[in-house]
Amino acid sequence: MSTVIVRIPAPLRGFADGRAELEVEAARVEQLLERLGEQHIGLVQRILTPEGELRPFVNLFVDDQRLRGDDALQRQLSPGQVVSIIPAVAGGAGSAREQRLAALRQSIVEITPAEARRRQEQGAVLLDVREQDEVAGGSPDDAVRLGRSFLELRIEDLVPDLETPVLVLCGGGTRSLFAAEDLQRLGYADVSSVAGGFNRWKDEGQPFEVPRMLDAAARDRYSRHLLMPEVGEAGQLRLADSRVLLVGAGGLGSPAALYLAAAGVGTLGIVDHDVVDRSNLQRQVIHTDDRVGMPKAESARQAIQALNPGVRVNLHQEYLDSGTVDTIFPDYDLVLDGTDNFATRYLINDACIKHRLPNVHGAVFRFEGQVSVFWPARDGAPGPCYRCLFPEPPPPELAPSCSEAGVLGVLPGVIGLLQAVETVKILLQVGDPLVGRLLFYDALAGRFQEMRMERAPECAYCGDGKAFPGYVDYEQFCRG
Amino acid sequence: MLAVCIGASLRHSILAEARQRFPCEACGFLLGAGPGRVAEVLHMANEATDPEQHYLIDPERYLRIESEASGRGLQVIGVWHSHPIAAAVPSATDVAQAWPDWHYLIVGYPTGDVPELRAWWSATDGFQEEVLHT
Repeated sequence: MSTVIVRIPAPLRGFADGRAELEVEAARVEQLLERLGEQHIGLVQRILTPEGELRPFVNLFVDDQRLRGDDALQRQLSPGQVVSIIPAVAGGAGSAREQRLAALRQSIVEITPAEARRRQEQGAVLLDVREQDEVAGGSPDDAVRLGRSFLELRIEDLVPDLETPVLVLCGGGTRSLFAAEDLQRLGYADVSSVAGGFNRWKDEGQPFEVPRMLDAAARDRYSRHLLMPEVGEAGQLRLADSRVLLVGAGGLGSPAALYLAAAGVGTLGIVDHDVVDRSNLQRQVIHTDDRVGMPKAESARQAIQALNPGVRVNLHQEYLDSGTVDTIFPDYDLVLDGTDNFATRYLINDACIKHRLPNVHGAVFRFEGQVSVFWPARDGAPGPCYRCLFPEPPPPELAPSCSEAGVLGVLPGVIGLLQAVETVKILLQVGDPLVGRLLFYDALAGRFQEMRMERAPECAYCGDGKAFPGYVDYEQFCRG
Repeated sequence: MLAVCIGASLRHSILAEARQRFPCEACGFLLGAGPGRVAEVLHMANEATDPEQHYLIDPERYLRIESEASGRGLQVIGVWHSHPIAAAVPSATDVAQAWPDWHYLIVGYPTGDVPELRAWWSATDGFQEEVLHT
């Protein structure tokens, strides 16, 4: 055991009763520090880390020699040696990033995850500004998720009231400071940053979920949709979950099926019992010359799969009648009527009433077409059905089909795509669907005309308080 | 408010050194008989690997200066450094690496139109600004 002199630097003398030197009995440096700790715990806390290692900003010298390396604390001491504790004198303005962060911390309130959770439950918006691939690994329950790159552009869509308290969260609590400052500049009055970000949120056991998200390929494919706040990721997932039944893969069904598949509608059912004929190809663009003779439903499936392999296609190659309709319709959210005959049109109308489905109607004749949405079961604002307008079909001689009267090949493209637009609007629950309105298109005049249609309260199928009366013999009904 | 006395010639010396080292940070020690009055200013080499953003003083030099000063009845009562393109306010780095009970003199924008010199007392719970007296 040796008596050595410990020289205390001025900044640490407050922890050594104000003394500049202490005498300590110790054989090794480690023992010296233990002894010092018994008398002056505050001093040793500033020299050693909680793990018992020398702090990086403290240097120990024995006489004039600096202690370095892993075995510094094992160094033997001789009587009379002087051990000096020398602070590393360091600091500085720091990098631009450090300076910015220091300034941000002056102006942005930081709160703990627990406090953020408490304020979220009181109505504050918890805003997760991490990028998609980070959010995919988990995000706080009920967080509003908006990546930092689109923050300024979209925040007002998600948080319209500038007085709403916003709690910004990122991965580690740094990016959220920058984001919080941006929000303040936009005018949000009460913005805080969650210290430690999602890492600390998770570590402290706050609730989080792994949100359902689009994969990278889907993100790429639907990027133009994702840019639109009316669609976005939630809307695209909604489309992927949607099931649309196309009755007829002909002039109207062809463009509608292609665009609905392209838009990412997850399930498309196709009802068509016909085969591709060369005369169809003038307007039925989903089919091809080399598929003449193939069942239309199968031909349509091949085209859809080639365009978007993610779409599930259900083929219904049977003839749609009152015997088969109830086995098909319940599996869908919406029916797109692309038929060219009145018997099937009435059947679709009646079945949509029975199964409470929106019926996106389209019809073409030579240079004219019409579109509407028949939807008596619509929540809150029910519309008329086809029978409200036409309780009975016209006599056959006044209603010739395309095969009899001809049609401009481009025209069903226009009308079928208007049906597709209405379909996507309904699935996304955006805009005003053509419920109670018939859009009439005169291609020769180059004119659209909108006609109001009222529900008929006495309608036998959708009238007030009417029970579904059952299907009829539609062929017979339409022969008059 | 806390205060520290430092004569005009010492201030000139600090500012001149800060300008000369620009764009790097300049640094050095403040010696005195005790806290509150700076008797001497020392200019030290900045050993930081990124001297434009940080400063670091070699501990062996500190050791020598402290023992030399104590022979003359003085002690190290603080440190000064410059922020070449920032205000004379303790940065996050300064706060993290501060030693308690020292005067910290900071020169801000030494080559700017309006250089700053401000003094801060490093208490155990953070920096407090001090009034500069001559």
